[in-house]
Amino acid sequence: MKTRMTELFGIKHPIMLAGMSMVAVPKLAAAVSNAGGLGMLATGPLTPDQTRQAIREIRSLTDKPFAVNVTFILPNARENAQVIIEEKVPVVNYALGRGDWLINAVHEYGGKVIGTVVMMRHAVRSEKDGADALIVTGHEAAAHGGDVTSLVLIPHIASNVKIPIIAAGGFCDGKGLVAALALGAEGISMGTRFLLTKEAEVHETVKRLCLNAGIEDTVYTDSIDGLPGRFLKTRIAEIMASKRVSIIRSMSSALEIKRMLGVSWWRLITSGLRGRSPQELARQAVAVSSLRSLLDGGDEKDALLPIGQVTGRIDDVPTVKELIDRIIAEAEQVMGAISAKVRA
Amino acid sequence: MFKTRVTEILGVDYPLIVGTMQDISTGEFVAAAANAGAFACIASAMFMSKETLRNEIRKTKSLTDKPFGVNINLFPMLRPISIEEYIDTVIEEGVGVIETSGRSPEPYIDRIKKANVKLMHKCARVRDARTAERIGVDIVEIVGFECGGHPSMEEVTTLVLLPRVVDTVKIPVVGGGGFGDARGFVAALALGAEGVLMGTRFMAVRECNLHPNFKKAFVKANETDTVIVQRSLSDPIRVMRNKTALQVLEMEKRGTTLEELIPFIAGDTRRRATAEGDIDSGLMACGQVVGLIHDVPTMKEVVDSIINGAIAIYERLGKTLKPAG
Repeated sequence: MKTRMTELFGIKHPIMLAGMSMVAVPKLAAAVSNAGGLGMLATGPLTPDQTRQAIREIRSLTDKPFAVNVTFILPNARENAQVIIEEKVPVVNYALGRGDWLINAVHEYGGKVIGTVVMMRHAVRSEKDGADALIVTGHEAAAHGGDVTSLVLIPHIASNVKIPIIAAGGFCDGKGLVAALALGAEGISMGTRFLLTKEAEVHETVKRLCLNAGIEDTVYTDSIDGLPGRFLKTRIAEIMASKRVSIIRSMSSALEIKRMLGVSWWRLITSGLRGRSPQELARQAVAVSSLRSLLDGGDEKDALLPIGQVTGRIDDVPTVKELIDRIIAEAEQVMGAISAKVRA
Repeated sequence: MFKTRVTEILGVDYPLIVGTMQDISTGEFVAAAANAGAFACIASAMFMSKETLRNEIRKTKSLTDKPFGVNINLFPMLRPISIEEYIDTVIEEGVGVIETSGRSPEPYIDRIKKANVKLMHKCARVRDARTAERIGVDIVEIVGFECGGHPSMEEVTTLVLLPRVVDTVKIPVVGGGGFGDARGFVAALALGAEGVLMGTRFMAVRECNLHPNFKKAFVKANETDTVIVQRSLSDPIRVMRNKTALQVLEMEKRGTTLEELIPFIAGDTRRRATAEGDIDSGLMACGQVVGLIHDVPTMKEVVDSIINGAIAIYERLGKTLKPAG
């Protein structure tokens, strides 16, 4: 399959891995790239040293193009971006902030940059700043989608920018890929679907929770990590969504995060989460530590898992290659069926 | 062109269904849609007696020889005549399709089936679609979170909900919510729909009786200019973000009673606003897809642009999907 996305990145299939913190790690990223898609490493929870190590690990696992993401609101973003530039990562994705300086630096060594957006204003700005492509995230996505759904947001942004668009939020199969292409996207980005593959290194409990969830089993709220986002409907997610969370728990989680990222309190508060209140910071800390304990230890009681509505459409755990091959085959079959309808 | 089980059952040219809209889906409106090759239903709730409904059906027939349907809203409310009387009138007038919405049509299904009338049911959850299939509905229409009017409390978007329903039932599925142009039309078919439902798009057409001020507001609105109100009443409705909508949201946030809300949310308030062209009074149902609407063409121009656009998209995709290299 050939689209502006496959041509821009030099990949075989217009499918990429979403930058899920603690899930989009070297093994999964390399598996997606090796299967002909675009793998991605998430650097949100990584120190600069860990980021460098992870990039090198991906290079040891694949010689195909891959991407690394950086989320600007997180405390280590600047330093991680510096590492990404030094390592000359082929494709860089940025989210939740302005990327002009990063775009210039990546273009200097010949890399490509993708901006992640959830609204028109940011899409136009990213294009103006020089981004090569956009990931457009709809309301149905895991974590930080906006109010507008993929079916409306994708064609709207596609009409208003010239750079290729990669659709994210609500995609898991060949039907969705054809829908995305019809709406004006040049490919899809998937998170939840790749979380449910053999190569995803998360605890079995996580996979079981997602497989069992229905399409209605997510909550969308801004009271978990301070930004509107979508999480699996668990006991703790519902408690936090209703804004009842103990300050003691928040502070101890925040301490854990501070340790994990190896940054000082001062840095955590000033450089990282500019303009956000200590409560928001604490909530974010709870979110991250709950995610970590779930992904590593399978502690489902306090599970806070960013997950898309599409989890309710997924009922198997294939290998990454099986999944990508199946999506492409199904997309071709769906096109054949529509083609028959056009001619009929 | 684009033949599906839905076009067969309804006898319509294209698998394109105009959403039934209270106070808009009159005989003239429905006939214009039918003449353009789409399928529409008269909103029977606008008619207070068997005779006025009968006259409207006859008027529609005088304006088109294409098939059309009649919607019967089963949502519990005060009615001047019984649901059975509405159904019998439709049957007596020889209309081939009834569309139900608001509640399960189970209590009336024998009456409808015995008359050999096709039944299309509109709902917003997987479990309601499953029920519709079980009781013998011919076509199920499913609407997602982005739709104008009534999405479900579960807030699942059409992109996820529609294929989930297609995978769950064997009867043909019509998808709605978020579709307003050729791109959405092809996307819906790709997701497994055999018909595509559009409401908001058909509010901004010449034949629609809405006050021009509202049509202008639709053309100006962008995709973030809708909100969901009445969540507190467990009856969510997506409407245009106007003064009334924001006021209702505010009242709901601080906790208010139905009695206090009624003056703002009542149909009469909207009808008065609609008549006067006052876009800030009353709640006007409107989908997120309003952000993709930039003109007020004729019904036929809309239908033609969707069908011709869909063919062009199909040709573009045909090239894309050839294996690389």
